Amino acid sequence: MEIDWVEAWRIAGIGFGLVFVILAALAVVTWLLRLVLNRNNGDDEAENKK
Amino acid sequence: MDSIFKTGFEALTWGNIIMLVIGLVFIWLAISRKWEPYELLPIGVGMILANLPNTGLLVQPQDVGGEIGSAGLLGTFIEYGLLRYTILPQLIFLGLGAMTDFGPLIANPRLFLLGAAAQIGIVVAFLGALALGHFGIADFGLREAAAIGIIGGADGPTTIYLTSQLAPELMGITAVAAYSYMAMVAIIQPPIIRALTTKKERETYMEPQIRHVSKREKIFFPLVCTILVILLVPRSAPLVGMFMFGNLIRESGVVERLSKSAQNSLINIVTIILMLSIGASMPGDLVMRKETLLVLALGLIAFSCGTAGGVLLGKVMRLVTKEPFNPIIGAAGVSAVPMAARVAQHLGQKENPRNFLLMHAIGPNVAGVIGSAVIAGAFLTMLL
Repeated sequence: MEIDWVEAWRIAGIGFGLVFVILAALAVVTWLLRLVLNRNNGDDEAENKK
Repeated sequence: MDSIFKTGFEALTWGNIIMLVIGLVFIWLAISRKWEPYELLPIGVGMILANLPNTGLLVQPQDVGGEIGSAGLLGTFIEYGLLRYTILPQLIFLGLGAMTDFGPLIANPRLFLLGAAAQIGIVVAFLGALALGHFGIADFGLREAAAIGIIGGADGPTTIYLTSQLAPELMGITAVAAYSYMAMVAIIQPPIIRALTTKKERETYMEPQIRHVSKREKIFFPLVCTILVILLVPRSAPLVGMFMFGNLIRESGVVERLSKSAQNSLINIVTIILMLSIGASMPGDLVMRKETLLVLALGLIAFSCGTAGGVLLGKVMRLVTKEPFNPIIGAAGVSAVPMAARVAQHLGQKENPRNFLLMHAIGPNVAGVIGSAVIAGAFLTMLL
């Protein structure tokens, strides 16, 4: 069977690259989420203490 | 002389007989060895039912023009649940989402990278399948190669979802390969982990306690994941959307009945139908084809390379992180939830009885589920 290797490597590269980029982006977003939400939590806790 | 009554014996082929034996072996493994019994038992029964001739069970509604009463039960499941609408794997993802705790991953987001690294097995098997096609050993094109490669994601529903759309003729064998290798994760992974790590690395002690993850974080996480991942890879929506929806109903805490249903009744019912259908997608002539053996071999290579990819990135992370880091947990990035995480836990504890790696391994484990759904979406975008 005739295989278009350029296309095959492009698909493999994009597929694996996308997984890395997206999961890395999710890691960053999750870390930011923690910062934002924990700051708000801190505010809530401070308010509760008042 | 034509008989008015036909038994199944006269239509029985050698292929059917071999598949009946394989079905019985699956049932034996499920009952006796307790290997993935929820999957292997119904798959085994599906294989047996599909390979008993003249039953009519496999007649699909499209084969009889939708004529009422003419289609068979398994044929109807296969056509509507897998081939035409691919409903079943998506519903399984909903249930899995409701059963998943993202806490360990949210607590340590770096573990996302291990889930990504373990997807390398998919790429290796994809290129390997194409190489077989190139050299004329098998008739695998780009679509078939993607369907075979996804076995390396070690995620049954993702394999079924992708294969049913790209190469439906391979659906039975890719799904059976994925579930079989998931069942054998405790046999496949340890030698690879041992080969790639030193004893000192495997003994590394990690604090078992992970940080407390707030309810807000757990609620926001599936929402953020849904929007970000689907915007970047829209074709992953059926899997990622259902997975995250299931998780949100679990974490929201306001729809307990839905959460319980998704975790129990829904996933149980769908598992029965899906696994029976998968078993029934294994006709007798399948074992007679050399492609079947090649798919099984490539699936094993994919699974092994995925394990290696996770472990090797684990070794890199060990070098760059300040805290002690055990690279064994990288192997859990291949999905196979929660078996791969249990393997990491078991192996880590065997090397160092103080170790309790389960919570750390669950992180890459669930990241791997997201990763394999992303790569499946990417393949669909590029190949459909």
